[in-house]
Amino acid sequence: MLAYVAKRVTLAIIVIFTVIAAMFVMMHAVPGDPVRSALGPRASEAMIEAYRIKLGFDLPIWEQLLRYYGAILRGDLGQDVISGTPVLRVILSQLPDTLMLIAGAMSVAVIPGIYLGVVAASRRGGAFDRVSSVLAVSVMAVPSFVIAIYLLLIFSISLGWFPAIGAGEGVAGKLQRLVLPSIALGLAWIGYLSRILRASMLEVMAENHVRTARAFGISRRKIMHDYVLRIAILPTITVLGMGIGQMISGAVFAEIVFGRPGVGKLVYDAIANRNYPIVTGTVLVTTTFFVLIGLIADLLIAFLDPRVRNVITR
Amino acid sequence: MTITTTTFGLSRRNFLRTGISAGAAGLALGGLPVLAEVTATGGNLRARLYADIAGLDPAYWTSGSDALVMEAIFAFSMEFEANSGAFNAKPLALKSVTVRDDKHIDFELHAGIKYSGDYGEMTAEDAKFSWERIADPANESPYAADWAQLDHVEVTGTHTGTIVLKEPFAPLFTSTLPATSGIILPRAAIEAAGGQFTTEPPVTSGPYRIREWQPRTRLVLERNPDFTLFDVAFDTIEFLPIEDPKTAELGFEAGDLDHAQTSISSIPRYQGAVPGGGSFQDYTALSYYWLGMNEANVGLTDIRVRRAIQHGISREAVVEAAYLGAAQPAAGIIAPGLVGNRTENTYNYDPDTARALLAEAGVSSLEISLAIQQTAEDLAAAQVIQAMLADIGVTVRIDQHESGSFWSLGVEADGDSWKELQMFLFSFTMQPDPSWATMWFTSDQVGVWNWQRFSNAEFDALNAAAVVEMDQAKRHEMYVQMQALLEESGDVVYLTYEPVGVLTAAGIVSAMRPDGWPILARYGRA
Repeated sequence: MLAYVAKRVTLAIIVIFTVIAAMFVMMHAVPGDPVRSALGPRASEAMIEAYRIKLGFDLPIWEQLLRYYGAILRGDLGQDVISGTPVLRVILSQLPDTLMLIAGAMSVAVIPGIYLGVVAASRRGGAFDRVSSVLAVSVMAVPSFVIAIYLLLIFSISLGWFPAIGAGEGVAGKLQRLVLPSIALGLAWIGYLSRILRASMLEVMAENHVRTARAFGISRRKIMHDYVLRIAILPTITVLGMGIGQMISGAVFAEIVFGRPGVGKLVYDAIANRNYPIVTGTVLVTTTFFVLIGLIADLLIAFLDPRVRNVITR
Repeated sequence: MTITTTTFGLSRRNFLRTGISAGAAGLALGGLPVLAEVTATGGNLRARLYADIAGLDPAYWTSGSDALVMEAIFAFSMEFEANSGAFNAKPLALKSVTVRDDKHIDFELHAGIKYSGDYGEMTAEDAKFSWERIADPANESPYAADWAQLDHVEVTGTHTGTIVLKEPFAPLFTSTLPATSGIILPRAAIEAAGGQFTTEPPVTSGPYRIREWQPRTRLVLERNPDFTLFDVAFDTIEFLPIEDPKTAELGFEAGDLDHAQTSISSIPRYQGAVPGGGSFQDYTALSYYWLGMNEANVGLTDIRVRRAIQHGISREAVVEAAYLGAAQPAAGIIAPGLVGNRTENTYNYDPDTARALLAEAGVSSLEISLAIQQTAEDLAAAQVIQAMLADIGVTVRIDQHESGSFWSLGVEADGDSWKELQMFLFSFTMQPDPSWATMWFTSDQVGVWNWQRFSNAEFDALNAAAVVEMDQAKRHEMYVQMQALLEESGDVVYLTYEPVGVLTAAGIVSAMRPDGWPILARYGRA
């Protein structure tokens, strides 16, 4: 198992360094100048050039990239071009809000999604299955930003139940401001998860060991829980792992619509300003996070499925 | 003559008599919209920032958001009178300003203005240090031009001194002393900070001081008990960085904000009704909006073609489409209320003349690109321009660019894209001095911000002369003439000055400049 983890971590490092290289090339391929953004329109060409040299932006891309790799290994992600603040500090100030949002969205998605998937599969073809199918497709089809705006209009403006903007202060304030963005971000995932789980469960329910269990007179509840769900949940865990990664990018709209801080908005603004260190630093952190979540999902699958565990430990 | 309060005057005599001309806090820079969404709960005033703060050093600040916060935490040398409907500058940290002659301005600071920390009292030595610091080329301040004519500051007493200029400098009282470049800081604090600072000022002196800053989340200011220059109504100001004006509108409507700058597209809606018993005011910003043409591009080198395009575009129709009736067509780049505002256009909509000019130039099927940013206003304006120019036989291709790419299109240092650039829609904002509008169209700005590549020796000479011209009537004529020259070149179609809509909830009294800029420290209660 340890060898497997080591192998996955090595692979993860290669992925991260490759993504950083790709980001470097992409950022430098598009027009725009971070130094002009930082210094404003009144800066002279001499000032701009001096600042560019100071930041190392005058160097060839490959040299900037190698320097950046070296800096990463020293734990230095560089400085925000505009404010001069260390990039790591900027990202760490934003990350908790994004993680809270993702956790909130997952809370919204996972329990109803699993419940709907299990019940729909166990009542295949029934009214509940049909209604839940329609609902699942509906929430997946409606763009999240549309849901976000309607949530705001209904629950903040018309009913006044929730505040509209900001991240809030204190636990209660933060939770209060987390409800609507979490629903907006997580609603579609109820649909995804329920559909995936339903399909997976139906597949497992058709397998021989389930039929055998039924023949032995084991209760339907026990079959569904111990023989079906335990296996059928595995693809859902994989999707969930990927979903958390996707939610980081999906968080951008929620952060914009609800006026929240977060890494999604951070990287969005940084790209517009050509703030290269912030973009690469954020990509580095989110890629690491994504890879880490993938690794955890794989290990969880190995823990739940002895067949996978055997393959890994062999 | 000593001044305690001044208003804008046109004549040199009037200028010298009163000492100070049009004021200019002039805080918006770099094309950034501004900015105030405020809510008052108890002693707290919550204000929206267009973007988080990035630099609060008067020599190195970067955005309008920075300037808005600086106005609350530093005692400006001069300030603009709120809600007067005009740019009236009056001394603030300065007790008086006396114009001895065009090159010598005596000043006296209020005694007892305290800095935070152990930096003591504001003195004339601090003024000398702060102003000369920005002017000193060695410090590479982007705002050195605000003190371009400063020779030195002579300290004559603890609170008194003289600004000695190399040449007369008209923007001194409009976009230098009443703006960020007039802020006075103690040498010891700046040196302790290593010569400059960004988001954590080593010292403050204004009506508020920083209590807490969570990057990109909130900035909380608290009342400075040592500040005595005027009374403030709120114990704290809480700034929330919210870039999207639509989000801010929703925040206002949900009761999270009591005062909000609206998006342009929402102005007509709020003119009809304001939720929650609030009020709505609209202002004309100093931002000017125009269509530029790159005269160096092979398709536009013939002035008859550019003139045809000028005649082919109805400014009224473009402004109506882009600003939904909330703005008026412009005849220049210097907004109403400022010296140099031009009221009559030379080349107006005349499609028959446009067709004749194209025929004369031997152009039968011209295809031309129009570069715009990804905004609703730009797109609406571009589509109307496209339709109107199609009517005179010119096919327009609209190229939309995200902001980072757009702002490098005409910059020579960023590559060769400037060669392909043909027409573009541009909007610049400025401080309330006309020199801020014209400085981007000089020959030395070609390939930097002068994307038209307009180069005219008379314009350059007038631009240089107008800055040192103290007779406001003459200065006015010079700027009008500059705008006429620019239009005559065929390189521009002046479109409008952008509108600003402001929502204020019941119970809040806003303090606004005529261009819709909020002076938050002066906000009060009804």
